[in-house]
Amino acid sequence: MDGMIAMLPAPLQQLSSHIDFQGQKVAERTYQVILTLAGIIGFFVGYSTQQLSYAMYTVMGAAVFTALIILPPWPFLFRKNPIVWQTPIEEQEASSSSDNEKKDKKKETKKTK
Amino acid sequence: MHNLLSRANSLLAFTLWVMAAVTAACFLSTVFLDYTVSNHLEVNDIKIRNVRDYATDDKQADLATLAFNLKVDFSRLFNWNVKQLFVYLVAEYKSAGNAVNQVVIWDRIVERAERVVMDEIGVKTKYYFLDDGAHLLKHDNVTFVLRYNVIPNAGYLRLVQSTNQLVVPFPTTYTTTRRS
Repeated sequence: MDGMIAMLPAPLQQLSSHIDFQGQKVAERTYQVILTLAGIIGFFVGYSTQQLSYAMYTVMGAAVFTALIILPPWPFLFRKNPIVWQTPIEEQEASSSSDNEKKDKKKETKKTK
Repeated sequence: MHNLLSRANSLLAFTLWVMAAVTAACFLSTVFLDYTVSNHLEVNDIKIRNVRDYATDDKQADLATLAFNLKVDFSRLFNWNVKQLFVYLVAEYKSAGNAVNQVVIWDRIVERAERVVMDEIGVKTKYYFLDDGAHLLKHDNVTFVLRYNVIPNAGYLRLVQSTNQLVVPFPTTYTTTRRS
């Protein structure tokens, strides 16, 4: 994915498609429900028209429809529970030197992640 | 699922699963159907010649030529899981040399359509009807059987035999002219 982003023109590289965890859960449930329903409906469409191709078109059409819903990172659907990160240590006020040492050790452990 | 490509991957994989399930359901909805049809077959103008079988053992063998009329209505067989039929006509007989002889003398692919009726008149054999030896002359009962493969969209290749067969006695003298 990073390689593909590097190929985009410069303004587009700033766009991100991340969604929060609750959004990921909603997205997965959405495509599961829509596509399963499409499979069932597609079977009956195919059976009544006696054309297997019609059943497949139903499923593929539903997949395209679902892609429009879940692929873009819609903020009103998938970014309603943003992840709350800890504030970085550098922003905290420095008090005593011993605290600074502890913070240095913390910084180093964080860097070796 | 945290980026677009990951979501697209999950969506595509699930879509393929659903399509596989629909295909399996299509197969199950057609597997127990009855695919037999009857046929109307007439065989005319049978001539037997005694020729040298140059392709195998260079001995004299019986070569039969014939024409047939075949009328079959296949419309009932086609459903959403049938792509086409492979229909063939077999001549079966017993001979002094072999307990079972089966010679395919003609075949045809029949594709799906709204109404499929085969009404062939005066059809010549597509393949040589060459006996393994010289046992066709005076043969009392050569049986002509119509069989067909039902070629599905999903599932196994089914072989069906048509309900009626035709038993034909073969000529008692050889034809010596070249004209068939």
